[in-house]
Amino acid sequence: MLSFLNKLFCKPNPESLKVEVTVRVIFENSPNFIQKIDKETPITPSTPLSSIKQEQPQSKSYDYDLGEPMMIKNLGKEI
Amino acid sequence: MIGFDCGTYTLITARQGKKENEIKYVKDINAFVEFDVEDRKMINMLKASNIALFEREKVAYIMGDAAINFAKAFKNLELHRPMSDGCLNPAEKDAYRVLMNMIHSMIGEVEHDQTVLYFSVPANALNEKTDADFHQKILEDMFKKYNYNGKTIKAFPINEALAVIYAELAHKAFTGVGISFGGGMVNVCYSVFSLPVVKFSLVNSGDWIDKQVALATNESIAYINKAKHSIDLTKSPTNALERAIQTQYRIMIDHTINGIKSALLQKETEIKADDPVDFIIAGGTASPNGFAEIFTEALHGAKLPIPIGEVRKPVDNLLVVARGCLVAAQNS
Repeated sequence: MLSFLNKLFCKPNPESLKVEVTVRVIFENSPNFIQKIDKETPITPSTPLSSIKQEQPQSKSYDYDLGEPMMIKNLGKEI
Repeated sequence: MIGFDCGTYTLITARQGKKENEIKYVKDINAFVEFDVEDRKMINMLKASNIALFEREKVAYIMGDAAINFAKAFKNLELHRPMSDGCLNPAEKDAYRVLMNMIHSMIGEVEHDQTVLYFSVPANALNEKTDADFHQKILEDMFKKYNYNGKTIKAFPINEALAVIYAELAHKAFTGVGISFGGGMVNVCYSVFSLPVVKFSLVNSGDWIDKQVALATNESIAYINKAKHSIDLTKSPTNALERAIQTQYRIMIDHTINGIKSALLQKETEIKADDPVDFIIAGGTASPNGFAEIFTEALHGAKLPIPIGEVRKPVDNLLVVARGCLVAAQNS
């Protein structure tokens, strides 16, 4: 992984360590990511990061709107 | 003052009645069904027939007991549960919205602004990954949003099993073991002079029995749930279904007692009990006839590090947690 990053960014300094974390997250979430790069965009040390297509993580939820509380009639029975 | 039992299967409020020692309870099932609003007339008719429902973006939500009846009547309607394993259901997209509306509606109108309310929360489970702290914060947020006719409530959490002790062991200076066998969890608390020394939960209670029996018999969970309510644990099983239900009840009781023993042994150096310690059993899953007897027998066979006193299931075992929450509110 480190040698790959060195080839990609060509500057083994503390800045590249920050980039390494970001790239790992993309690899874990997108199993097809490397395959796409190989087929469509061969990576060279001069390849700008912005030209690499990234898949956006999709939410599993319908929405996150919490809504305003409502009073519902006829809920609950006295026992 | 209000006590609120926020259970996986039932929601129950407890309020002081007008007479001395009179408590008024309001109960409903913590479940809902949802369906697309295609026919306005149908919605109006459901409202006119006093069905508890609300609408949002062309989807109608029917809640409580009516949701169970609808799910039984229409096979294409799935019964949703806002909570699972004692906490907000992470797999249910509308859990927050529905549970908040149910909680506010169950409370109804309060007499005074800043009415004190105690609500039950579980402890984290020993056998599953649960996030009781997150669940508690979510409930606090829901209660904070209550504002009806300009009146608000001041809500405080209380451990569900400690609420059992508050309800039943005042005459023992709130010292003893409370066990709440709910729908999603078994909650256990050993309290000394009202302070919890040991508290934990286990994710193997009513819903767990349903799942295990369904697996063993190849029946649906809904069918098992119905059959479970009529089981008598004192009688010998007459068929494979009864045998499976009775067996899973015994396994659940064994798991609970092993959990109690293990937790007490871990705290052995901090616990000093010279007098026998009473055990109170509560919750809907403890309802079948013979449950208390089987539990008592298994408890005496477990060789706990504390002397065992009376083992008792109150007559109103379903309402004990809500009553304990009310006791906490009245003494705050």
